[in-house]
Amino acid sequence: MRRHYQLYILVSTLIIVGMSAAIYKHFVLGFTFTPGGQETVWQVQAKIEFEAENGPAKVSMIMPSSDSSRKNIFTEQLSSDYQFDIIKKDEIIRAVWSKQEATGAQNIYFRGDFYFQERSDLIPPDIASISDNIDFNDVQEKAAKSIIQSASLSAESDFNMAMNIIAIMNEENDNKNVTILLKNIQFRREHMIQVSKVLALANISSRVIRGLILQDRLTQRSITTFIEIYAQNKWNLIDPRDLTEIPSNKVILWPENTRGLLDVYGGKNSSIHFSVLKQEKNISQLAVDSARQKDSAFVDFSIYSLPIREQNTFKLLLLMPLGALVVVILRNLVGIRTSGTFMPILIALTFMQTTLLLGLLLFLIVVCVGLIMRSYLSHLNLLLVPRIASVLVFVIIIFASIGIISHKLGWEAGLTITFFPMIILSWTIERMSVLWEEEGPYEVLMQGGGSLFTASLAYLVMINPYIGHLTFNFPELLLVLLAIIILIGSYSGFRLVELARFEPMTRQDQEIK
Amino acid sequence: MFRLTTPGKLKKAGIVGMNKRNAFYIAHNNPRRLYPRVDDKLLTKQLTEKVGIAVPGMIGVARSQYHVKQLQAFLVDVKQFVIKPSKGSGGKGILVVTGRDGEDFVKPSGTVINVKEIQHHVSNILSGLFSLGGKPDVAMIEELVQFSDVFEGFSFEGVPDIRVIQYHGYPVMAMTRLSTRESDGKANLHQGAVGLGIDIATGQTLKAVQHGQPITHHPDTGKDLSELKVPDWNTLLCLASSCHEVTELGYLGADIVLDKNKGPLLLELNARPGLAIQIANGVGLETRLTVIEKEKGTQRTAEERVAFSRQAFS
Repeated sequence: MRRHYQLYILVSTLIIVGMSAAIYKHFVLGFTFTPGGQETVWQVQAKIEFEAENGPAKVSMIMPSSDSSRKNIFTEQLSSDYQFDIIKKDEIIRAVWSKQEATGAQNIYFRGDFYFQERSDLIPPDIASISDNIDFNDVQEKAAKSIIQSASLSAESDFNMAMNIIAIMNEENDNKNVTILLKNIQFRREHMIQVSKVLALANISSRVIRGLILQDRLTQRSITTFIEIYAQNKWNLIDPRDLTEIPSNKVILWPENTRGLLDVYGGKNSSIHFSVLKQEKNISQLAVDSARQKDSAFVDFSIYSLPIREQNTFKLLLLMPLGALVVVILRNLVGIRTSGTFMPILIALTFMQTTLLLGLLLFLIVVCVGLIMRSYLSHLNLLLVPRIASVLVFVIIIFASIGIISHKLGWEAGLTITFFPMIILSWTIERMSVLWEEEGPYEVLMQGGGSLFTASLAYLVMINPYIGHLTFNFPELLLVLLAIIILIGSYSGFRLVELARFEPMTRQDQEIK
Repeated sequence: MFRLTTPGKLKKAGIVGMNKRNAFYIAHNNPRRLYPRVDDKLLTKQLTEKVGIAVPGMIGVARSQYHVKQLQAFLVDVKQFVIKPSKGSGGKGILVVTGRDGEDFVKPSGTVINVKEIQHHVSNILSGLFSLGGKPDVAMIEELVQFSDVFEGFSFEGVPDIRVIQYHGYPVMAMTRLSTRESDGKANLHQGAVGLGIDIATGQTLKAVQHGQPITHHPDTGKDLSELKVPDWNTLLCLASSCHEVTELGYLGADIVLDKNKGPLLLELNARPGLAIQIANGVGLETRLTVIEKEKGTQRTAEERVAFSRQAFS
């Protein structure tokens, strides 16, 4: 009885630990339980250049906004000779590089990956507060009102009206009213602030935002000033130069009300340019990257920290316990006999390379030919190891023949034969041949068929994309799998085939009654 | 043929399944360290002979190639003998010699072989050709059993042995397997051999099954199977039962043959006896094992245990 308690405690611990780790990863780290699709990720690289003044240098760059809809999932600092810090102050995040001694031309590289979820945080602006900021004098106000008047002529909605105003304000040299408003204004940003004021006078909320339009393979791109207007119950981001509306998932934005994007101390002629690269990434991979950004120990000490190539090996390894579970279920709960306990798993792994039907066909060909050749060996009464070694030579010869024949026939699929584990096949042939001699062909058929059935089932489980996703992204579920296997191991009830085997006994029981 | 029953019905009939046998009866009663006592036939023989259990007489053991060379001189006066691997499984590698033809040897089929072939066979045994996993083995040379003729006509070929399953030394069930033409002379039930349940109380046959279906007559010889009654039944049970003290295994199968002159002889022991015996007896093992479970604490000699079983299971 005590052994049972121990077992149940062990099993429930395993299940709880495995499940809670998986649930934590799902809800906190954003891992998904289903494979999901591809998500576009924009890789933005900033290149900061300046000439150092032969002394200490400090560079500070404001980081783009990252919120729930526009996620900065990964940043990487690529200038190792600078001390690097991320400083957060008043909701504004700055990346700061500093160096004690800098001479000559300096380059600093900074990389960030962004991806976009659906926007849900649309807060209508407080219109009154914007109106308060209108600081036009009488002449300016008159000019602004005149602009609004001409803009409203053909406008049917607030949005059209706003677009008209922006268009008119672009005609700097042709329109007298515009000239009045833009007097002494040099920078694009100040220009837009004036536009914003005119819009406010027309009761249209707006804000001036700087950002970077995302387009694949952009290089040497500067930051752009945009104006965002509130119309049709949403914010519309407008590129004022060509009056186009920019979808919110095609741009990264910097926080509002920030003056200098880049501050350089101890340097001159500074500039910042961006290059953009579009990537398609798997959603689950995004979760991994995002979690690594947060320095989650869960992800840091996991398979994801390995190089990609090794990760792929582990992807395959992590599937093997599933194959083992299938074997355990079929042997101990169903009662199917297989030749070699875990041979079906290896065959199933081979099927993953060859596909199922082709794999079955090749397996049958090799084993049948091998059995015929082996039957000759049994007359020679060879010792065990040399006998299996001879079978191995047979198997290689069969492999080579199938490969060459299929290649000559133009049937390239036959070449996948090489994925079959040769040693295991040799043992299988040897074992089946002994079985044939001792127990007859029926037993060979039963065990061979059982092995292939188990292998096929294991293959179908292992090839399932959902299961593959779960094992790779939630390796802790292996503990749950282990718990299930342990539970089956302690099962002492009847196997499915025994219900048929002992059936006559219960039948007779009833006859007696 | 593929009719299914329910686990509930099987449980009610007291039938023991594979999982139950392995996880409960074998795992709890048969410590693995004791397995060599039954898996190594030479060791079994030495252990059982020491306490006076009747076994086929030993002529010699060949342990090395050096012994192989001496075989001719060693066997010069031996008319009949059996050579078998000590760790063989499933009856593999057994060579029977029933007579001599001058220097040569005569097999039961009448084939004559010379000493070279005998030596080759022994050499194969030593190198592990017949042992599980190919481990090196030794060859036992035993006296040929002079089979009793009680089984005359009951078997298609060969002479059947009687298997007695015992639990903590108490015989709980017995059966014999009769080969048929279909089973190709082999005593393998799923190849078509007939399973014949034997009454623990009397030694009388209970019922016969082939392919899980009840039959009354041998399919090849036409002999009425209910006519068979094993002689010396009490001696046979005592022989089986006394193996418990030697092996200390709780769940044990003993294979016993009947010698014309010497009576029951222990052929081999099995720590994992199969479950087909339930079908041949038409009784679930569990019904009997639970009875014995209650007697575990009581100290009894082999004779007393047999007496208890014969009464309890009549």
